Amino acid sequence: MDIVRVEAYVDGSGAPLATITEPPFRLRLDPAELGEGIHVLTVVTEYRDGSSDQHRYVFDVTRKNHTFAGHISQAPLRAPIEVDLVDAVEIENPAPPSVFLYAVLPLILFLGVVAVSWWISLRAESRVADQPTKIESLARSVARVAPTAGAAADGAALYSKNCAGCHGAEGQGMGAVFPALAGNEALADAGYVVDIILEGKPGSSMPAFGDRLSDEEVAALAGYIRNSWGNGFGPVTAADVAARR
Amino acid sequence: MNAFALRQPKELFESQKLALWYFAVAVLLFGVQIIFGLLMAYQYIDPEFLYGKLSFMTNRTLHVNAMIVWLLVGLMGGVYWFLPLETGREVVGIKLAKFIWWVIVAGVGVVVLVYAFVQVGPGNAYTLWFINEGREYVEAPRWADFAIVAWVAIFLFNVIATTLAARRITGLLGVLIFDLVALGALYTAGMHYTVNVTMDQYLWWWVVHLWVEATWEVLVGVVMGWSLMYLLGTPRKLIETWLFLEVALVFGTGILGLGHHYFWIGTPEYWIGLGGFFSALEPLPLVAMVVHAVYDSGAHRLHTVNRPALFWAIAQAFGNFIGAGVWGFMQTLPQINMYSHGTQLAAAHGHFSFFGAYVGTVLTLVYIAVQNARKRVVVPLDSRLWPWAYGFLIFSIIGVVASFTISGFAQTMIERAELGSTWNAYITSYTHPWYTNTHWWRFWMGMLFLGAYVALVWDLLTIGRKPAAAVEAAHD
Repeated sequence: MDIVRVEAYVDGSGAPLATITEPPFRLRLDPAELGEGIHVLTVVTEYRDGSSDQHRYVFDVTRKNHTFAGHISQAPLRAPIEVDLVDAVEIENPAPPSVFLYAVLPLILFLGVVAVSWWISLRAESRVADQPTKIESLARSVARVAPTAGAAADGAALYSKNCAGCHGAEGQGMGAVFPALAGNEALADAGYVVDIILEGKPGSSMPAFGDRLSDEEVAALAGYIRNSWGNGFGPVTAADVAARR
Repeated sequence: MNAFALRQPKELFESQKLALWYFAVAVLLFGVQIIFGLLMAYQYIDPEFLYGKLSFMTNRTLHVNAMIVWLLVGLMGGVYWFLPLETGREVVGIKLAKFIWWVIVAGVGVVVLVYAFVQVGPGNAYTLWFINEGREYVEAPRWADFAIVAWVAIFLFNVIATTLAARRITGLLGVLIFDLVALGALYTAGMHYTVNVTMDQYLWWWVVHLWVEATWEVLVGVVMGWSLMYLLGTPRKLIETWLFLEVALVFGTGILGLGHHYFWIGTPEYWIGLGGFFSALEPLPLVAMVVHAVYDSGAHRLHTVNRPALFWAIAQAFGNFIGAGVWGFMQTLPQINMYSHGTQLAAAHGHFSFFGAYVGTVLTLVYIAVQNARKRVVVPLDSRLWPWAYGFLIFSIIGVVASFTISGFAQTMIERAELGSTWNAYITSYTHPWYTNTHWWRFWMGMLFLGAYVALVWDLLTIGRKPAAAVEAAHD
C-alpha cells in the first residue's frame, strides 16, 4: 500500500512530534528529553486510498543500556535513537515470485515424497519372505500342522494350553477384563460357547481358534469348560462344532 | 487498529466465507471428540458399558480421528482466512475449494457412520477400501484417503496459484507452500498396506509423527505469525525472523525425532540413538515460540484488537511448550521409554500437547474470524464469558492430564518396572488404587471440560453482539 503521510505523537500531545511524507519513515527520538519512565509513541499512517491506521508503541526510558529490535520496548537514556515508524518489509515492493521455485519445485517434491514411500512399500512387499519373522510361511505352517484330527482330544490339556493364561487355571477369570468361566450362566448356550471359541470376540482380547483347532478339539474344549469347576451344562459333539463353522 | 488488521475489508472475501464453514465444522467436531472421550472415560469405570455396541476400541478411533480432522480443518480454515489478506486478492480456484470442502464434509459423515454402525469387515480388500484399514488412528477407508489427498492437493493449488496471481511472495507464504507440500505428500505414506507390520508402521509413522511434530508445528508457526500481526501489529520483519528460526529448529529436530517411534517397532538398532538424541532436542523450537509470543505481547503491553484471541495465543505458546515439550521430554529418552512406552503416560502427553499446541491455535483463529464475521466489527473484541470458558477448559484439561500422569506412573512402575510386563503385572497395575482412583477424577474433569466447551460455543455465538461500553472505556 502506498503511504502518503506518517505522523508521530508522543504521550498524548495534540501536535505531532514529526510529520513525514516520503521514505525513509524514520524518527530521531531523544529519550533524555522525555525523561525516565513509561511513554507512548503513537504512529498515524495515511495511505493513498484515503485509509489510515494508528498504532501505539509503549516503551520505557530507563538507565539500562539496551533496546529491543523492531519495537522500541526500552530506550536507554544516554543517546538519541532512530525509530522505524513503518515496518520496512510492508512498504517494499518485492519482485514477483519465481514460477519454478514456488510451483514446479513444490510439485517435484510432492511427487518425490510420494514415490519414495511407494518404493519403500513395494520393496517391503517383495522382501517379506526374507524377513526373520517369515510371516507368510509361518501362517501357512500353522494352518497345515495345527488341526490334529484323529487323536482323542483332551479338553483339560487344551484348556491349560490355550485358555488358562487369561481365564485362569480354575476358570476364575481376572478382574473385569477376562470374564470368569466358572459359574458363568452364558455357558448354558452351547452354540454361543462354540462360536466364541471359533470366531473370538472382535474388539476384545479373545482370539479366534477356528483355524488352529479341529472340530474334535473345539468340542472337547467346549465340553470341558461347560462341565468343570461346578458347571454342569452337558457335552458338545464334533458334529455340533462342524455345523457352526 | 494496525496495518495488517486494516487490510480486512468490510465485505469478507469468498475464501473467508469458506473459512467460516471450516471453523464451524471444526468447533462441531471438537464437541464430537469430547463426547467420545467421555464415553471412554466412563468405560474405564464400567467396562461393560455399551460393550459390543460401541466398544472402547471404536470410541478411541472416533475420539482420535475427530481430533485430527477438526484440528486440521481449523488450521486450513486459518490459511483460507489469512491468505486473501496476505496477498491482497481473492483466492484463485475458490469454486473448486468449495466443491471439495462439501465432498469432504459428506465423506467425514459417511466415515463416522460406518465406524459407529458397521465397525469391522471380513478383513479383505473390500474392508480396506470401504470400512477401515485396521489402524488405531489416522484411520480412514482407502476411498476416503484418496478424497483427503485430493482435498490437500486443491488446497495447495489454491495457495500457490493465489501467490503467483498476486505477484507477491513473502517469507510466510514461502514457508507455507513448502510446508503444505510435505503435509500432502506425507499423508500418502500412511495409505500403504504391507503384510509385515514393522514395514507398515515404518511408513505409517511418517504421517503420524512428521505431520504432528514437523509439518503441523510449522503450519502453526505460519498462522500464529499472521495472528500476531493481526492481534498486536507485530512487524513482519520480527515475525519472519522468528519463523525461520522456528522452522529450522522444528525440521532440524523433528524429522529425525521420528526415531522415538521407531525404537520398539523392529527397525535397526541405530534408531535408538538417533531417536533418543533428536527427540530430546524437540522442545527447543517450542521454547522459541514461547519467547516469541511473550515478547510480542509484552512489547505491546497486551494492547490488542481481540482479547480472547490474544489470550488463546499466549495459552498456545505455553501449552505447546509444557504439553508437547516437557511432557514429551519426560518419556522420550530410550532408557525411560523402554518402561513407559504405550502406558497412560503417553495419553497424558497426547492430551496435553494437542490441547496446548493445536487447540489453542485453532481457537485463536476462530476468535479472529468471529470478530469479523458480523456486520459491525467490535474493537477490541471482549466479553464477560470468554475468560470462564478459557479458564475452565485449561483447568479441566490439566485435571485430565494429571490423572493420566498419575495412573501412567503407577502403570510404568508396577506393570513394567517391578513385575516385568506379564499378564499378572497388567492386572495388578490395572487394579491398583493409584490407577483405579484416577478414573472418576478423569471422568469428572472431562464433564467440566464439556461444560467449558458449551460456554465456549455460547461465547462464540454471542461475543461482539452487544459491545459492553464499560469494556471499551476500560480499554482506553
